[in-house]
Amino acid sequence: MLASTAVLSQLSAAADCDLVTRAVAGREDGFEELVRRYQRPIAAYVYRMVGDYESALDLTQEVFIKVYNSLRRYRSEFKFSTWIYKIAHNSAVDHLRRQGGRELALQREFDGEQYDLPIESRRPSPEQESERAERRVEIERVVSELPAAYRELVVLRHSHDLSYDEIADVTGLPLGTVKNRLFRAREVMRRAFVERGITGV
Amino acid sequence: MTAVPDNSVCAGEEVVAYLDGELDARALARFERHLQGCPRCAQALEAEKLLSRELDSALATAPAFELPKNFAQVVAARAQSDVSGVRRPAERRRALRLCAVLVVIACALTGGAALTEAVLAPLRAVWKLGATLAGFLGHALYDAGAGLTVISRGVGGRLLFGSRAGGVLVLLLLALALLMLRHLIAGYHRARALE
Repeated sequence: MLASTAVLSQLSAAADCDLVTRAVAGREDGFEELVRRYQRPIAAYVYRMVGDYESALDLTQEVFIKVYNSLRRYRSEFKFSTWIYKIAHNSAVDHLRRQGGRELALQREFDGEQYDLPIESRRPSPEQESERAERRVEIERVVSELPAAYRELVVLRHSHDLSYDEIADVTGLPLGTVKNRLFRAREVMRRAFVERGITGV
Repeated sequence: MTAVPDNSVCAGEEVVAYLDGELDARALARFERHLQGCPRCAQALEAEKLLSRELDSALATAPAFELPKNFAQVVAARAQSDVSGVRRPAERRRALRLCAVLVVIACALTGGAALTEAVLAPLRAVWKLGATLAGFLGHALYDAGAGLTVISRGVGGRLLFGSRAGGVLVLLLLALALLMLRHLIAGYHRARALE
């Protein structure tokens, strides 16, 4: 299974390069196909980062227009997905900064200190939701309440399956910081799960 | 790398990195050796495994985020229609040629009068304006040159009189205006791109 995943990812990387070449050559279908391929993961990532639909939609558009404008500067020795996540990361961080930057301003303090999530009263989940879905919503909520500096690492790792190296490339953080923040984020989440009565984690 | 005592891997970070498959061969061997004799780490590993499983399963599903159906098409069209900066020079030249051909055809269709009115008159006006500007620029440059010569002669005081100082000032203002114009154009393009 691992081998087939590797082959698949190689194939998709090759296809990405091919699409980039076609887009740079002015072939319109190349770029549109790239957008189609990455629109869902990028929108999901941006949405988890900024937390509201309208901004996420605008930002996703902005990301792809930036991608188009800098396609010429893309070099194929980097993975295309890492490159596009990096552009999305920069857009999301800029947006959060424009929004007030409160979250990001704290970023540096987290590395040396303990951080507790604000305790929010548990909102009742709709009764018809299965226990499993309910649990997923709770976990998603805990993640969404993490400070941006932690949240994005958790999302890139567990939702988009990026390696530590790729996360370091995307965020521009040193590898050691990525490793450390991921660990700290888990500690914060674990405490939040206990506070919310989510067991078995 | 210096040898690190084995119990340093109890840091917790190592447990998570191990679980994420992010330890290099050496760190991996060291951690696995350590794991056999450390019940605390074995327990932490089980706990982290559970947490990872929960996070993976909760976050693997994309959030309820509906993109408009024609999103890719709209974004591609918008990206391609905007940015002139990305177009290759060859493509720009082709577009210019096409425009010229279209103008000629339009003129042929509407007759000579249209040619004089619609094309030549504005062209003449532009030419006149260009000539005026060039003259102005020439004067300013001449004045600046003259001013510099005067300075080089060591009689900078004379700059205060007559049109030479004015020339230098105008030249400086012109340079400033050009810089600002570039900035404005860039800003406009950026705003359009993000619109």
